[in-house]
Amino acid sequence: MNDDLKSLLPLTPATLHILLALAAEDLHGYAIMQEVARQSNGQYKLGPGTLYENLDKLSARGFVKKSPPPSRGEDIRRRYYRLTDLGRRVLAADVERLKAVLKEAKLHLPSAATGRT
Amino acid sequence: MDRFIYRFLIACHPPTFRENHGDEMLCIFGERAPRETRPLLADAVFSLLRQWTLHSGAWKFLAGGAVSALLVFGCGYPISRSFNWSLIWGAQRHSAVLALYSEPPDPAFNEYEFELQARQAVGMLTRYRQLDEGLRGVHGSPNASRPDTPFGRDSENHE
Repeated sequence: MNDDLKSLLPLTPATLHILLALAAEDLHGYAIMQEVARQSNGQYKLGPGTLYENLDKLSARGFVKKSPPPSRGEDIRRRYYRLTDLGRRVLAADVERLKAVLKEAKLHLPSAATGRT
Repeated sequence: MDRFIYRFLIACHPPTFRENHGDEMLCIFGERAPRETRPLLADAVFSLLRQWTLHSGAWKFLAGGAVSALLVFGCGYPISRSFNWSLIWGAQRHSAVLALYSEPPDPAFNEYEFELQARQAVGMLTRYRQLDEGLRGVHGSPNASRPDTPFGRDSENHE
């Protein structure tokens, strides 16, 4: 893993979910909230305040940027966000880190290997 | 009523955040309420606190004030008639300026001015300490008549 990226890890749960939501396509704030809830089966819900605070942080760090709306009929109040190359690489690096954590968990926690609690 | 409260909470956010995200937050509230009114209001309150404390730099102002108060009140200086409020006010003022501009948002506030403010703040506190030590050492008691202060002769005890 690149040392430059290592210094940016680990990502916070909110950041990880937001980047993951944007990995597939450009989304506006509300769609990101819905996607995060879907990814976590409703267990992790982002409020608008937390979401936009994190989007500001991610924009400042160059992980996401604003993008034009995909179609003309969109609500002009909606702003779309896109994952940058740096954001994608950071997300991939954090997923690798989580894989290593999961591997350790499977070694030491039998229930994690079988998926039983 | 809930929408009015939410709108008010958004209006209380720092201007940059409000202008960038206020409309979208209201839009989301319109779609999620009334199912999730309470979580949305709670989120707005926490967001408001975070924005004004952590991100606006107000915490630096509070920290600067706390540190300067500690320096003035907590370092063994007696609270007595030797108190020179102009010195203390000066130190507080410079600490506050330092706190507010430790990440200068204004390009006009350059490193030179920052250093100048820092030197003045340290100088103020040093002079107060010297004055206090002088009063205790030379006159035995801080309540004795005052010598000249760094800001000129104090006329309070002179008839």
